[in-house]
Amino acid sequence: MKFCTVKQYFDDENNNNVTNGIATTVIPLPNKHLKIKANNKEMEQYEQELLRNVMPQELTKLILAANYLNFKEALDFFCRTVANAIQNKSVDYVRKFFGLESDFEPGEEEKLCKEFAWSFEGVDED
Amino acid sequence: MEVCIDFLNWLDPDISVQILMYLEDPSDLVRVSSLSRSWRDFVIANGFFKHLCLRMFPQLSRVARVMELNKCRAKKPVEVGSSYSMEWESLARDHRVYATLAQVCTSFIIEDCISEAISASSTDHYPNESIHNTLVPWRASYWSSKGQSNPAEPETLIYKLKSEFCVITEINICPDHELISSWHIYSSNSVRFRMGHPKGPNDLGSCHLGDSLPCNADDTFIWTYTSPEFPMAQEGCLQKFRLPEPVLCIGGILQIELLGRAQRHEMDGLFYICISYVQVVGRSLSPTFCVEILEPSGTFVLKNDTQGKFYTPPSLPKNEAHEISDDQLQRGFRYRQHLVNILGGNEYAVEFIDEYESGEEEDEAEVEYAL
Repeated sequence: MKFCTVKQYFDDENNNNVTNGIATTVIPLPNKHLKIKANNKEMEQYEQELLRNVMPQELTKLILAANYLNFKEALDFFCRTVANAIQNKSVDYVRKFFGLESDFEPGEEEKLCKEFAWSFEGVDED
Repeated sequence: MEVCIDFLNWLDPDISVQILMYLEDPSDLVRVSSLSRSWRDFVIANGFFKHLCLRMFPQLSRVARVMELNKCRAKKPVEVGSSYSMEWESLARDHRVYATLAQVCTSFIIEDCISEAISASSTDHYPNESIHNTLVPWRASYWSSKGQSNPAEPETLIYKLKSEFCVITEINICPDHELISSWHIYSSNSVRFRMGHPKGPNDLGSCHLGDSLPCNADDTFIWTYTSPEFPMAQEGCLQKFRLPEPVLCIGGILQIELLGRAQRHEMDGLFYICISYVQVVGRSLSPTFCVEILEPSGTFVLKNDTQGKFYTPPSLPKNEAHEISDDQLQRGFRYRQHLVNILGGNEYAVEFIDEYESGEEEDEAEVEYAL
């Protein structure tokens, strides 16, 4: 079941959705998952290793690939990784991470900071 | 040139929702909604804070609607979304109220949440051994049930909490010793907790401390939470019963069910349960939050007083609170043992002296307790 879309991907030569680089990252995952499923710590280490070299921009592509290949475990994993990457980080850091710019009116952002002052304290250093 | 990977533009909304659902700290969600307008609108539209609060406290599923009290309105509300509408305003209100609720519920200030004792299912030697005695830790006094020949006969103790909206994390109970003969401990075999609210606004009055006749709890209260059953040790020390998850007590009423009697009294051969101290640990969310219970549906309105300041009690760190209680309990027990030794084990004389001394002891004890 996990491999239906993968098969389709290989059959479909004109596939623009998933580049080769991304495919080589995502496709070995099922096997790895099965091999070290029992050992959570090993899985964590493998996942950390995998992501150490992945730039934030690639994460979007990884997610799109996992979604296209209908590979739920990888999708969950990548989503969780994004969430972990932005946990306890400042607003500026997260904006840089996503490559976003603020489009708030001048007063709006201050109002938010004031209303929820408690949430802007104690973040990690950038 | 940095590549913009704004997820909201690239991904299905379902996947963006999935990512944000992994954020469990309310502060992270607030910061995400401060990134840009589209992120803010996305967080509001998908009710992330409401979902977060519901995951933390399933008791909130009974919320019919939320209200904001004392909210200062600007001349015209600042536009909160792409189209200003009643539905959007409702979502935005949910967002603000549940964000505040998530934040206060995850802050770790704790206090003893009992305000007063309401009633016990039975009381021996009323009023000397009433439930009122369980409110103070140090005193050499206790609540006792009536004796029963059937050890399976349960007892219940009902308390009113500091407010109608409290987060409760654990309940601590100290069963009582008997000092006359060999240290019998009148605990129960197990204990279970319920939380809820009075059926009607006047029901509490008919069921108050001072009645020697206990009220029928199931007629008077509606229970919205029942804990698992915890085994109770046959030890006369402060026993901690930590709830599997923090629980929102909506309505401010807590019941302790004492199941199975462990100890038979030598004199009359009947089974009794005696408790010397009860502590309910958590925090009151008043005055920032209050609830209005809608009968007969049993749903409620969650009200956030935007100007309500939190009373922050001088809370003791958890371990310290328990050590003090245990120490004061030990002092109380040694006092009673001393009396027993003097009087050569005459039970009736001990009771008399307890009453006589209790006035003085109370003042002393209250000073100690406040420290």
